[in-house]
Amino acid sequence: MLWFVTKRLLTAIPTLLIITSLTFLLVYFLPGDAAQTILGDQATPEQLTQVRQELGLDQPLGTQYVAYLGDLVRGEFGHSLVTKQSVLQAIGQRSTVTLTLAIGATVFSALIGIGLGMWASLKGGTVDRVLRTVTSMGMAIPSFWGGLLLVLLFAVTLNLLPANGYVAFGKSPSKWALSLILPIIAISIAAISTLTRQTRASFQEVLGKDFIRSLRASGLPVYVIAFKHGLRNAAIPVITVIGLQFVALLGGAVITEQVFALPGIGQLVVNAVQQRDIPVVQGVVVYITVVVLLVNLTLDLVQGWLNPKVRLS
Amino acid sequence: MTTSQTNRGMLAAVGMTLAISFAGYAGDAFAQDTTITVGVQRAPNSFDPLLSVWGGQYQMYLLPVYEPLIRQSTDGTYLPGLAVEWGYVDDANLQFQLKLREGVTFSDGTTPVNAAAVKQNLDRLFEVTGPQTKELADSLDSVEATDDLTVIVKLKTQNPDFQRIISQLSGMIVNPSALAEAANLANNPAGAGPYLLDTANTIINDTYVYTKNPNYYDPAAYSYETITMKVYADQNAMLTALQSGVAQLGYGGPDNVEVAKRSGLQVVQQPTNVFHLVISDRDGAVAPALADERVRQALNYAVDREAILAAIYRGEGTITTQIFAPNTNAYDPALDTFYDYNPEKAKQLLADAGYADGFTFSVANLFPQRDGDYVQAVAAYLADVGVTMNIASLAGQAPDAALLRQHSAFVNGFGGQGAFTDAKTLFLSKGTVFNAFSSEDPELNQLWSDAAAQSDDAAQAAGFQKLSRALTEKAWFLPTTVVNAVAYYREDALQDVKMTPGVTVPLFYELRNK
Repeated sequence: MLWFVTKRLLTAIPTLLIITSLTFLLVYFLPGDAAQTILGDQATPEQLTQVRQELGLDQPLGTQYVAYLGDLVRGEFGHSLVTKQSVLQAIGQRSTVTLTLAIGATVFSALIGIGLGMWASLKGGTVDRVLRTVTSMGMAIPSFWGGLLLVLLFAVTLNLLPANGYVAFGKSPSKWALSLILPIIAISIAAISTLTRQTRASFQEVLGKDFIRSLRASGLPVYVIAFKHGLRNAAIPVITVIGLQFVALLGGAVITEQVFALPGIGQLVVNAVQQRDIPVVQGVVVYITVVVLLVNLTLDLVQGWLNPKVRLS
Repeated sequence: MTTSQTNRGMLAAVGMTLAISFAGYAGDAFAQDTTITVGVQRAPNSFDPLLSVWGGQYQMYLLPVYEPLIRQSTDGTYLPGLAVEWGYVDDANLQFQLKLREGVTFSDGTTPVNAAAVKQNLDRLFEVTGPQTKELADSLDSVEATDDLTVIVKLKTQNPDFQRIISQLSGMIVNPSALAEAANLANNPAGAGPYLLDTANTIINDTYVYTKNPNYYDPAAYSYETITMKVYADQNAMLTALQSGVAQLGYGGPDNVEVAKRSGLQVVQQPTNVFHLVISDRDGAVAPALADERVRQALNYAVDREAILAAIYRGEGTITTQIFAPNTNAYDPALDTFYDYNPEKAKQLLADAGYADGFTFSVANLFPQRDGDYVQAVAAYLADVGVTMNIASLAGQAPDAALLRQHSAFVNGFGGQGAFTDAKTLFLSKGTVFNAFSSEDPELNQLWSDAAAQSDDAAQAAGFQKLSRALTEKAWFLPTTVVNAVAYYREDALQDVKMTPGVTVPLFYELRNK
């Protein structure tokens, strides 16, 4: 097990190197630079040259990249070229919001999606048909559009929930919860639909197996068969989908954060790209890559726990 | 207790919690006694006044923490700030005296705001290069502290915008003790304003929280205990925040005026931003046709400005053919209609210049989301007279002179500050974004110098208007519309909010109107 985890962590190093190099090149070759952002549109060529020298932006690509890699190896993510804020501090402030959103949406969509999937599978008939239709629609609704409709109804018309913004948990736990309800629902719509369909399919497959028939014949109640025996066997593909959904929700949060004006990682990286703020872009890319690698590792471990065959292989 | 009873009990508890939370939210939304949230579209680039930008909405972030030497008022005059008396003390308008307010300290409560501190701040203009430092640095000769509360600013050349400049960034006085570590000012302001930046609760680029400065010289001036500036990149998100009570004051374009009014929000607006094409390739480096004045004039005749105002800006503004904004003393109402909509005349001018079959040039659009419809409309009118204008959408790219030299023109919206400074920004300085091809015209330079040298206000205005006419005739730009700057606010939070001339948002001082 330890060797498995170590091996997975070691393979993350080249992945990180490739991703950071590509991002560095992409941002480097974009027209414009941070000096222009700092000085604004009235800057003269002389002013720009001076600020570029101060920021080291006049150095050749290779020199800048080697300096960046050196900092990275030392664990130094540097400071934003534009705001001067420490990159780690910026990520720390904002990752709370994005992770809360992604984890909240994953848990919410898993609970609802698995529940509905099991219900559709066990009930069949009209319930199954209705859920299949509704989930098809749910998968087609873009999160930003769903979000806008939710805001219009619950915030503007009914005035029950805040339209947007984020309140820190430490400031007011109840307002924190309320500020997350609409964004979590908005980004969960598609995930719930996917998970409902995946759970329904996996569950139906398991329910058709011989051991389930034997358990039924032995007179066990349906809910015991469903939760104790069916769910564990149907869970492996569902867990994989949940993991993929988490990564997708992390990406989807970028758009949702704009709609709901949430100070998350997505907003941070969008601003940084627009401002050609390379240290921040790189910091966020490293951060997201590490999170995705950790999620994938956790998925592998959970699957191994659920299915010994995976562990042995 | 049975299972179903337990479940019902749990459901009731969850329901009650949610109900209390909702009630708490609804109550908070309409009981904004001690706090106000202001929606802003862009985050500040620095809390160091000399590295910041005045314009757009950036000034909102600095005014709570930095008291300027004098304040801009909504009627275009100036009011006392850190200085209580001010004015030129010579006939040539080259020596400006400021008498400072007595007994004022910076926010640390100990460092006095005195003449030495003001001198130290103004002297920074010789060393620090920022987006707007040239406004004063170009004409600044020296600064003298003649006694503890008197400062004399000596100028090399007349600067007709001097009062405006010291009411803005260059007049925001930083605590001298913070200047020793000036890099820290980026996110840690140190001024003598009515509020302090609460750095612990501030999320850079998103939420800026201000709390009252206990050492401010006029503690009763502002009643809000905390002010939150919240960045809304999306205008619709800002509007819903205002409608639902999350924010109480917000700024935006003319798109949402009708919706805002219908939903009960108060709307205040004034014509501020001149929308235009900067025909930067006026020497014909990329599109040779544009070197001919008649061709540039033809482009100006080809556009139906009334239709653009009605269709693109929903009538929220006025038409114009001059580049100077209505709040500047170069503004001449007669120049608003210098070029009428006359496609036949446009075709004739093109034919006279040898381009009867038209020509092609490209325009850069740096803000496609904002200006996409506008530039498409202009392109359609130019196509009607045979000119093909290719649009290059450069979304998300910082304006850069080198980038803009690949195109013959670019789309711009410009809020005028003062004719003296605007002329330098828009066409006199070379190699900048606005003058990427470094065009120069001795006549324009001379007209500008002559106007600036006038000490009489009326003579100076006449001089700048002469400059505006010459520029309009030369057609270096294709101005079409002065679009209203718009602010929205909730009546339960603020009263009688007013715009300041030349500023795209109601200034921070309006938050006194609770």
